[in-house]
Amino acid sequence: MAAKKKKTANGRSKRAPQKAGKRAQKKDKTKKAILEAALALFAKKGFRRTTTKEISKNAGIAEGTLFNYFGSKEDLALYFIEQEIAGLISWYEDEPDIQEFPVVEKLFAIIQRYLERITPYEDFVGAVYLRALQPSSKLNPLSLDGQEVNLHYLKFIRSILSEAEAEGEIPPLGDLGAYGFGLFQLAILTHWLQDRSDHKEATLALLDRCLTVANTVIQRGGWEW
Amino acid sequence: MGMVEREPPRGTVNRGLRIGKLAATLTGSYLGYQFQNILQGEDEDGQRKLAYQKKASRQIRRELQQLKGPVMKLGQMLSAQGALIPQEALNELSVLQMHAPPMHATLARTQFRTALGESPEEMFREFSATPFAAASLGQVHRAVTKKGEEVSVKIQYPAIKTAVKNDFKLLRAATAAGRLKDYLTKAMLDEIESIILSETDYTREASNLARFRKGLKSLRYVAVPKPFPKYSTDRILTMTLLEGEHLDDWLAHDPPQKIRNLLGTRLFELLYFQIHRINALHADPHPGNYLFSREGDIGLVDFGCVKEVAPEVSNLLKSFAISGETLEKKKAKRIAELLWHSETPQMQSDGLFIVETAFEFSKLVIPPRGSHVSKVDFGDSSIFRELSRLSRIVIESKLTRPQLLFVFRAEIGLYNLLNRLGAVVDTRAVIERFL
Ligand SMILES: Nc1ncnc2c1ncn2[C@@H]1O[C@H](COP(=O)(O)OP(=O)(O)OP(=O)(O)O)[C@@H](O)[C@H]1O
Repeated sequence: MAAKKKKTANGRSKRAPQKAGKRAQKKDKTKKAILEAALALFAKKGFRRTTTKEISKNAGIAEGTLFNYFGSKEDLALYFIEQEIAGLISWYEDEPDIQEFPVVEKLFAIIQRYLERITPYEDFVGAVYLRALQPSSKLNPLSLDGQEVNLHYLKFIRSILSEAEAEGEIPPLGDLGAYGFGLFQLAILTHWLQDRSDHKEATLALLDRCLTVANTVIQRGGWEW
Repeated sequence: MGMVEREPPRGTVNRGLRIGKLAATLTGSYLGYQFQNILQGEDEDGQRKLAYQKKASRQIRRELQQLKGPVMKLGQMLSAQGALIPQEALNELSVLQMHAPPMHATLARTQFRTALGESPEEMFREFSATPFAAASLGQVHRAVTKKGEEVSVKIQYPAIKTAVKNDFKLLRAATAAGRLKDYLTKAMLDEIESIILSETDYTREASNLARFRKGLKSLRYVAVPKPFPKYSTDRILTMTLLEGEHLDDWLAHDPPQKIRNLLGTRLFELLYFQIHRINALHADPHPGNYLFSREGDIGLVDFGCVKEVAPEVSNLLKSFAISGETLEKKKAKRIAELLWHSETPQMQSDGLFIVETAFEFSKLVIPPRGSHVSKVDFGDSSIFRELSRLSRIVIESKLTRPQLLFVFRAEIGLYNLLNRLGAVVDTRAVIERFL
């Protein structure tokens, strides 16, 4: 936290045109710090038993300031999803060998990585998941905020699929492929949340089998209308 | 066996299996995996792991033809329960010959890391992401430890236990009604299931490895992998990598008769050494479990299934070997009484027939003391046919005791191997060492 304050001081001394950018950066930092503090608490105490007071304390800000950043728990959750997706995409881009994988393995690796990332926050993710089922929720994939986040992810998936299409690895799927994958990932998440097997290995097996079967079906072609 | 060419069988089990095939591929079914493996092997399109997949499915097909593995187990168990299952039903059940689907590198790595807390790349100096062999529950990778030891890492497919359980649920449902009910009772299926489930625990295999390494130490030409507990769990088994070739590859070099005979003699000794000295048997006589060197050394892998050899059985084989041309009636009776001691006098006297048949079998393999035949040419098909005929009588008999049965199967597995080797073996000389 101390490091952050120092940077703020530096920021103020910079020239005016950079000020807005710096402010946004600082805002981002604080948001991340809040999320980090919240996640650590969720992992330790569970989602329901964590209070906003504790979150702000752990993030080193006043409780009132917290609400300036996140108006509701939903905003926090949406930010979490956003960050997860950004993290997943940058992981994918930096992972050395993954570009060489067959497309099925790429998709497997992405979901697997995603599940691995959210494992410490299962409790929170479960709560978010339930909340997202409500049409009025911002987290609902059909809501505007939800769609924005979702779309970012689907475009990422579509680029992977397009690449495979271009290389003739799979027949042309169009946008259908990415949409299908989005739904599939949701189904896997649903299974994962309920999976009581050791290390959730049943989900791992299901994921592998589904992708293999899907690939077999997709290979038949005729998906683009 | 010609399993693959068979017409699609009908019947309750088969129907059950077909239903299973649909649900299975997704919900986690061992059967489903296997169907998929076979199907995938068919439509080839030059993708990355295809060569491996093809090999795996070829292996499956070959094994299907040999009717081994769980079917064998099934047969053993059924006979053990005194039931005789019709061949048709057995064929249907042979689909149970199980192989987990291949894992791509990411899945294998995830499995490893979940079990051991670190990825194979972190734990080993080298780890080859592509497996070199398929196993019934997973696959086998090559690796080099940080100390420089070459090892083989067997990684189990995730949730295999659940898959086996699912299949048995299905099998129970499929066999609960109809004609199979009398042959495959719930109790039997429970028992077979528990055997297969116990093989999913690689820690058991690791302790078998340790036991047989010690037990077989004095046979200098046999290598048994050393387990590495540090890199092993119930789902991961790391052991020394054995060198050598599988039988087919070994034979492809057209080895001289002398080496064939040497190897044959050693294989023969290896079996009887286990029976008489270790009193336990590596009970999967499948050729894939042997690795041969050009010099005739033997590497033995796959200790997932080890059986204790009862003293009665070891003694029975010894008394066969010291008999002359004929087995005295009195002696045969005593053996039958011993083997069927807990059964009715009627069964004991019927058991006499089994003992006599087994003796005929034994005489073919080990010429009686003082016989003019000194060596056995296992390449001779007529001997082999006669062995098969006699063994069928024993194996298919309701009366056969389970402890006798698996020894018998191991013997047949061995003679099958010796037949393919075309080995001529002085079996009498080998056996004398144990008498
Ligand atoms: N230590 C080893 N050294 C060399 N090869 C090995 C070793 N362990 C296993 N293999 C190879 O991997 C194959 C499969 O391993 P193993 O037999 O142990 O698996 P399994 O699950 O018992 O399979 P199956 O029941 O089909 O034989 C073996 O046939 C052998 O070719």
